Amino acid sequence: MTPSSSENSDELAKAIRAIQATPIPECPSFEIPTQVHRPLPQSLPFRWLALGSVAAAACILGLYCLSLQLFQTSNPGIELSHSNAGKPAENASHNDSPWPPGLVSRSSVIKQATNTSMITMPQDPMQNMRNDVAWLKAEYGNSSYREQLERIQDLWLFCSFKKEAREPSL
Amino acid sequence: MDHWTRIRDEVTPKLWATSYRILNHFEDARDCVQDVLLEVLSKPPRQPVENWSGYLQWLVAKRSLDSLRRRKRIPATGLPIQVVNSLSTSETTQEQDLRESLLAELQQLPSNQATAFWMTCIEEYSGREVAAAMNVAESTVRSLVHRARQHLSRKLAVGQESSRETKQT
Repeated sequence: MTPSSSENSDELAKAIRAIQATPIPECPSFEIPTQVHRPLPQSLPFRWLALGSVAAAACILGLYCLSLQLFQTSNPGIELSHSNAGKPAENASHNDSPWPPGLVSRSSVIKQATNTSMITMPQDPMQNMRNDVAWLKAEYGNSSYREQLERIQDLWLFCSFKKEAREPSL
Repeated sequence: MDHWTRIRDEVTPKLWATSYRILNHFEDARDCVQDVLLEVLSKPPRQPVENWSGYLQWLVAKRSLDSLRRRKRIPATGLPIQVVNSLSTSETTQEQDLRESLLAELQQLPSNQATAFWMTCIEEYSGREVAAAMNVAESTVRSLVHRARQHLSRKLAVGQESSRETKQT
């Protein structure tokens, strides 16, 4: 047997009245905090400001790293570190250095070339060779690292040949 | 803050009554109202609210019905003893059955239908107020309430019929 619509409505009305008549206990106290943690505003200008700040910081960091890289490329003998920034790597180990023994950095070579007389021929043939290297280094100081290395290698070959000619192994 | 204090003092008893009618559990109802108040304080609505009472009532009804759907325990078990004693005992078994049946059927309805029905039929808010709180058109509220009433009437009548037949046998 299907109940009629009026009976349906009656049941619903009774249920509604029953719920409305539910005895309610006394309302407890509710705390509203004086300081509520509010999330950061998510408006568009704030987002752009935050993104812009991050991008600017990244740009500054990138430029700094690039300038360091360029400086080290143009000054290969100078090590940039926190403790020894800008100073020539005088104490660098010769095994790690790409330069031949005796050539630590360009600045030291130039210094050596300045202090050594180019006119007077020293007695030591090795000293003569070092002078040549220093002169070449001072002459081609502005050329690239590979060019300098090639010149020095040529010079060393030449000096060896001269030394050989001067002091025959026989 | 004065604004909120005033709202709390004026509206909180209504919110409490709504939540308690739905949940029928002291602690759950208190948690529900407290959560809604904190949520509104920490994340105020973006659009301006004309009727704070209706808006909060809608939030509490929605939250309480959601809690009721999630809850599996028998209602009214969490009432403190002094509260149980102070309640009226004139409620008949039939009324209690009807109330529990209605709450059970409300859980089966979609959330917006159940909330619209509760606000309109139980809390007796006008369609315009409910529409403003739910941020929908008034016609939508009427439609939601109509569908909810149809569903609940049918289910309640069937439920009462079957219970009568069980008693007779």
